[in-house]
Amino acid sequence: MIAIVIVSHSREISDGLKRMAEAMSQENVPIVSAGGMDEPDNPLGTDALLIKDAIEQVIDNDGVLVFADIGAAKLNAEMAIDLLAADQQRKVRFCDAPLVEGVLAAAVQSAGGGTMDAVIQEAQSAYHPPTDIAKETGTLALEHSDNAIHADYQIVNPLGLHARPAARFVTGLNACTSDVRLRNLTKNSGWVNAKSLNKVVTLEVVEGDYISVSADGEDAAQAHAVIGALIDENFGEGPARIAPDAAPPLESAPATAQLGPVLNGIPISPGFAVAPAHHLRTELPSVDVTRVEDTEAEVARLEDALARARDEITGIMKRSRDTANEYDASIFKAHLLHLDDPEIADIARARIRGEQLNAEAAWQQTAAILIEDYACLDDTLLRARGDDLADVSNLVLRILSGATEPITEFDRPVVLCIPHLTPSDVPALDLEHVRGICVETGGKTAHAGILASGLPIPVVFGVGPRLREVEDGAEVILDGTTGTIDIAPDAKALDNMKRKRDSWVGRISEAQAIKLDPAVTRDGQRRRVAANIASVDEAKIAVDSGAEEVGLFRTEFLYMNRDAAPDEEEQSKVYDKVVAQLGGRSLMIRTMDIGGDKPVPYLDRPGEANPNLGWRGLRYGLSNSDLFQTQLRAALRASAKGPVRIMFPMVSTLEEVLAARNELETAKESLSTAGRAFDPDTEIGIMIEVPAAAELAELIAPHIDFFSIGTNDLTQYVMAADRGNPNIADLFDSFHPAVLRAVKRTIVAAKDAGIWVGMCGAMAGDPLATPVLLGLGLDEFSMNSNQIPEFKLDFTKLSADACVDLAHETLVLTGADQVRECIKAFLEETVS
Amino acid sequence: MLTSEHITTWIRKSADEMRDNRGYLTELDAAIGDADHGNNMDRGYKAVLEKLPDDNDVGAILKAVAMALISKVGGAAGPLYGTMFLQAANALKGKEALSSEDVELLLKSSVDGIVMRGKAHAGEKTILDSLIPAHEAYKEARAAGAELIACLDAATHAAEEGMKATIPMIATKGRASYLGERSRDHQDPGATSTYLIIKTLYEAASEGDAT
Ligand SMILES: Nc1ncnc2c1ncn2[C@@H]1O[C@H](COP(=O)(O)OP(=O)(O)O)[C@@H](O)[C@H]1O
Ligand SMILES: [Mg+2]
Repeated sequence: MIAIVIVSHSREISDGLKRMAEAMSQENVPIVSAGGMDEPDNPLGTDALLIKDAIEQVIDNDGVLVFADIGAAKLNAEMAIDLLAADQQRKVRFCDAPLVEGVLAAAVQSAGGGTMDAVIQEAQSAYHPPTDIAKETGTLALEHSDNAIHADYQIVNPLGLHARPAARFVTGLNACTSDVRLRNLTKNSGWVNAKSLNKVVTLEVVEGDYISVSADGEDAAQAHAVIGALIDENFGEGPARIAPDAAPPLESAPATAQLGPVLNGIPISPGFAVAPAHHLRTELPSVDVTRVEDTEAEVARLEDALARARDEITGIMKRSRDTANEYDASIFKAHLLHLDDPEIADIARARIRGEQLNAEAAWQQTAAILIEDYACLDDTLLRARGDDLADVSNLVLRILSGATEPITEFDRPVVLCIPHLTPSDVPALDLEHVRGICVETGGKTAHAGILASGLPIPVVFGVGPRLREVEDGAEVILDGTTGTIDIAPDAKALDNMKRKRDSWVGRISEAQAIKLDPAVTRDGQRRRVAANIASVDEAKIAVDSGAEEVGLFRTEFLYMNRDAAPDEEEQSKVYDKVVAQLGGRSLMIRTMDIGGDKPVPYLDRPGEANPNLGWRGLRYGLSNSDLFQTQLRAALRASAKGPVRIMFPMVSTLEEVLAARNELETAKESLSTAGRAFDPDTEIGIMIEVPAAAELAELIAPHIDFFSIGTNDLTQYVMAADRGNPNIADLFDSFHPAVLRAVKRTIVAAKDAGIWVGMCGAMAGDPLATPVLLGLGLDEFSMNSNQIPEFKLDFTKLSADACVDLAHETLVLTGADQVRECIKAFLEETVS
Repeated sequence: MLTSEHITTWIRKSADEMRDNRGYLTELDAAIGDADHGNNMDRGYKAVLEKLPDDNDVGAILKAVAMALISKVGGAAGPLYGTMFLQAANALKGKEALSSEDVELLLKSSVDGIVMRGKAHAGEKTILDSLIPAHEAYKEARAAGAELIACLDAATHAAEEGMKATIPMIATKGRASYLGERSRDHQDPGATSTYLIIKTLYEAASEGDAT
């Protein structure tokens, strides 16, 4: 973010301008008012030292831009910059622009993540005499590629695209990388850059106007999704005063002529499909409100529906356990909790009895209020809970109304096109015939996204409303790797894709053939390939997929969805079973990582505003000694049956490690006293997922036997980016050099101390990450079982030596995209 | 040689002049600016007196002057004179006495400082119009073999000439430039305060029997 310092002769001006700019940028941009002088009898003037102080207050941002009003203010601003330390000076620029217009434009541009140059450019073009603008907007032609996504919208919020709505529009689009152009259809204007506040306001889009938007680039669909969402919420302005018309005016005809044949979305599950499109509307039966006489019978109907919904969800859970893993299944446990939530069921019952409402209406109205409550929350995690509730609520309504499952079975191959995919849809899919799925909404981190990513077919989310334009039955090409759908492929494209699909299928079978071989590079370096599992059943799948060991056994499922914590015997049985399934392969038991975001009612945990930074992992274990001891004893007992390692999650400090060691010693003593067998040399280690632990790695390493890097949390904490927040999705990127540096630091510390280091986060199974991780010296790669065959196939094609150089190259880059480009170029050059 | 005492005396004398000419400078600024130059300079130099260090290093003294002016003057003259004294302080760092050659360096670095900050040229009706001639005259006198005090005498005369020469000029820098043509026929306040600063340097040197 680029911070802004406002210098004016008058403190009132700089204070007032700061407030305006904050309102425009939704208070996201650090702005400091540095106007006036600290001289009671002479307050009008500027003070270089005061300005210097102001700059220093925000120097920790990506950059600081200083604006000044007339003459002396500018001289003093420049003086202040000269007075800064040399390394600070490099981050600060003076911006010669009209103060008010410049600062407002800069704030909006910065809120959207603009670079220093982009912010300056926007500020400097902030003032044009109106006549020039008319000329300019009238002549700007649209030069977008055929892949551009194009759509028209009606703007119905009272302010139109001005002031805050315009700022939100621009800020939202600036989070996208695509080039986005906008024109006012109603006023027949030219095209302008939709990411420029100044340009957008010149279009004078007022309530009722139609706009045309063209987005060109990788995330073009996302850009349209952003606009759609803003219009849906009426730019936060409250209800619209006019109803949107059904169709845009005629002028839009030339614009729609530019429709490209390719739709873009978010790649969820890779693979290729060529098949006729098939639309499914998951619309709900409409609910009529009626008056019932026999209220008890109506309550019974509701009970019955709830029971059947419970059965259905449990069934789905089972199916998802077969196809995916326990973690996925746990998502449905949250669904069950909603079903049992007295807040909904009790109120619905009371309304049936009290208001003589029919069960459908009572249930829908009650759930709707809660869903609405969730939707208003700021916390994205809680908001996601609202989606779950909506899913559950719809299921109950479908049962009550006798509507059938929306995702039916097919008799021929199809590419499914649906507005919304719910978690419960995923395991219900007919995978025989469904060759691929395109969804209008959704993202990677939605529950449905997590589930769908495990499907053996291409899946693309977030395609946007244009998906509806795809003709039913038309042959389409779905590429789950790039997230694109060709809705009108020509013969050549079809041919191409069929070949691609063949080679994909070929590659899969090649990988299957070598999956049980060790992973050895071209130049003879061997690395361990392990599986992440979260249930007993998955142990066998891991072995069958070619895992040499289990690098992560999540144990949270033992604690979830029950009334009391599992005792030592119960846990011991589970661990023994897994050890037995692994047939001599090592099992990494990770002690419970239960945090405030996982519902474990009997633990009676306090609510936390920030569960990710809260009382979870080892932190929680250390302060709940009984619970912790039980698990440690059970885990140690398993070490008598086969090779076991114990790993602690969410570690920040050396003291925690030492305390955990102590707990383990206590557990060993108590087992010895009880005459229980265990392996006294059981390896212990920690997950590296907190930046503090990565920083302290060399101090911690001598006290343990291994590190395992958890990239999802490490990325979230290093980048300070919540992975569920779409506005900062590009920050949550494990390929960012900042994350890679933490990984490198950890590996170097491990090597220096003579211990091994693995990785059990999503990155370990990402083919693009492999060469860098290999080059950095990672010993063990632990991933989802279904990734292992292809991982091994790719691995054998690498040269470890060359990867060392590549790793070093990536560490000095500045962005995740650059890292990716660099690796891609490397792979193209060395592997073909 | 100018000792550090000469320099301190110079600064005190400048402060007296700014106090005595406060009304005059403000009046000049009222004609083509915002009627604050006298107040600005007086306030600045008052702060300078409070901050004058007990130090023999001329560089350190000039740096203290610079910082006080930067934080207290408020108008354009603050950063301008501030940078001027900072540049001089850097050039003379560590010197406890200034040779005739050092004084020339003092003037040269002063010009550099004003140019660096204000990016003006001679003839734009600014400080530079008395400062540049002062430096030139000093340089010529020294090249012709004149003593330090004589050189400063020449510089003072040149600064005064330069100051008066700003009267017919049209301002193209600073606040006065907003007046355009109407800035003609007025003496520039900044050039005037600069003349006072050069003049007091000469006075401090000659009264203190600098050799
Ligand atoms: N860019 C510049 N370069 C040199 N001197 C300048 C410049 N701008 C203004 N000045 C000088 O500053 C003087 C005005 O100082 P002052 O009144 O303190 O500042 P302000 O103009 O901010 O009120 C002018 O008379 C002029 O000599
Ligand atoms: Mg003035």
